[in-house]
Amino acid sequence: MKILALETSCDETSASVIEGNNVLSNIISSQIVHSQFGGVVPELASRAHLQLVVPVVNQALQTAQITLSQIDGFAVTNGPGLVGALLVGLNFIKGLALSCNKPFIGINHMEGHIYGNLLTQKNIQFPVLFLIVSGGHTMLVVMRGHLDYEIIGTTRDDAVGEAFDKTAKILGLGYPGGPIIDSLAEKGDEKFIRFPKAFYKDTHFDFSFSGLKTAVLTYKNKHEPDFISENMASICASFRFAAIDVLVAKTIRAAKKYNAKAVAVAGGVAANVLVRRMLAEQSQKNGLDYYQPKFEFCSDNAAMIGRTAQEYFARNKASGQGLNAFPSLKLVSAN
Amino acid sequence: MNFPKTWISNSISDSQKIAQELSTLLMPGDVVLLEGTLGSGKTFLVQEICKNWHIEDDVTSPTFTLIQNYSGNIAVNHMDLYRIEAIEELDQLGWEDMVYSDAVTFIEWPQMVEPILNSYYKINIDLKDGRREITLNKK
Repeated sequence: MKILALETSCDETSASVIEGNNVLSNIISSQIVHSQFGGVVPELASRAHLQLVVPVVNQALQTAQITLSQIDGFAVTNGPGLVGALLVGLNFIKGLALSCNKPFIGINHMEGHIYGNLLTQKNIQFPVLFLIVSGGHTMLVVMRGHLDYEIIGTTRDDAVGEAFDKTAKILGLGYPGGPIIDSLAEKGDEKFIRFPKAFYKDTHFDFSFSGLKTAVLTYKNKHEPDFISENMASICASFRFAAIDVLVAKTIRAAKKYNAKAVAVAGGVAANVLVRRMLAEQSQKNGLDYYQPKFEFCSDNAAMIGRTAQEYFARNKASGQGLNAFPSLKLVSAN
Repeated sequence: MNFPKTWISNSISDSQKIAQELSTLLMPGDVVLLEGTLGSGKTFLVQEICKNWHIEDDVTSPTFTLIQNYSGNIAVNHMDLYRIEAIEELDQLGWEDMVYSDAVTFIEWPQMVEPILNSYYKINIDLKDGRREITLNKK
């Protein structure tokens, strides 16, 4: 079954054609060079979904070398996200489904991240303990089978990706902060400063990263600028270790508590070098399988939405034209 | 209340008391701008005010999500314009509908919209020697 999927929940406009686990195209607006739009879009601004949706969908079909009439079903993110952004994608897909007389389904963005990981796994052993980490989300989910989720922890303030971006800003390192801190940290000493790890020893599985960000700010204000710049790599390494260690420790502890056979990581921060390294090490040490996504399926993309849709279509589920967009859509199991 | 009104907070419980005062002052339809450096506690203040209003949704940082909507005794819009680079980007978010609604609207990093708002409260949080000076103004 060939699916055309669209994702417009936040910054990116993305379209993909996917068949099974075979990604025929996965176009992401910020990654396309300007020339492909023939000057129609002067700046590839974030969230310009209305201007970008047609060229991005056309590009996805062209790259996959198929026409709209060969598509068997459509998929679109209908939450969580920005309501205005979600509505552009949802209404576009509703229109396509109606005019092509093919089914469509609304997909939860977080569920999409999960399948962005699973789409490259050969052999999935449930239950899987999923750590979903991005600029906007930090979440632990027990997945007992396909489309079966239980959220066991979330952040109480900042998402971990946001903590990276804001810490980079505090340290004057630029944007996006995640990759910058990650590469600097590789050259530093993670034991240089002991930054706080919120809820590290608590039995619940919630997170908090706001205090860590403030701790870096306080540290920076207490020291001379020269000292900060001389030790930047080690400050980044110490910050990164504090953030990632708490994620990994709680993920492994949750995996044991919920008798998971595997742990998995998804979302933009799943591209972080240390989270990958530590999860791989700790999973092995604890006799758990470990699934990590390919880099191209970490940040927001439509292939992950299309892959999720296949699970629903395989169970004869589809959405009706009355489907709405929900900015705070919760991740729930399919029944 | 006379404006500007200034509080000093030396602790979390001080900030919680200030939040409680603010939660009785604010009425549906009010717009509240929040200014202060990264880590000064803007989101914390919104969280605490929302607790007083028995908001059931999770109140978290909207920096990445840009706009969050909560419901409880009072409807709340929680915006963060930190990542917005141009006012044109805002137009796509439907933010004006929210500002002129019956909800209380909190806006973190509001510099871009302040000149185009008619009436609002403005809270400044200054971090000084480990304590916070919280100033409330009204326009």
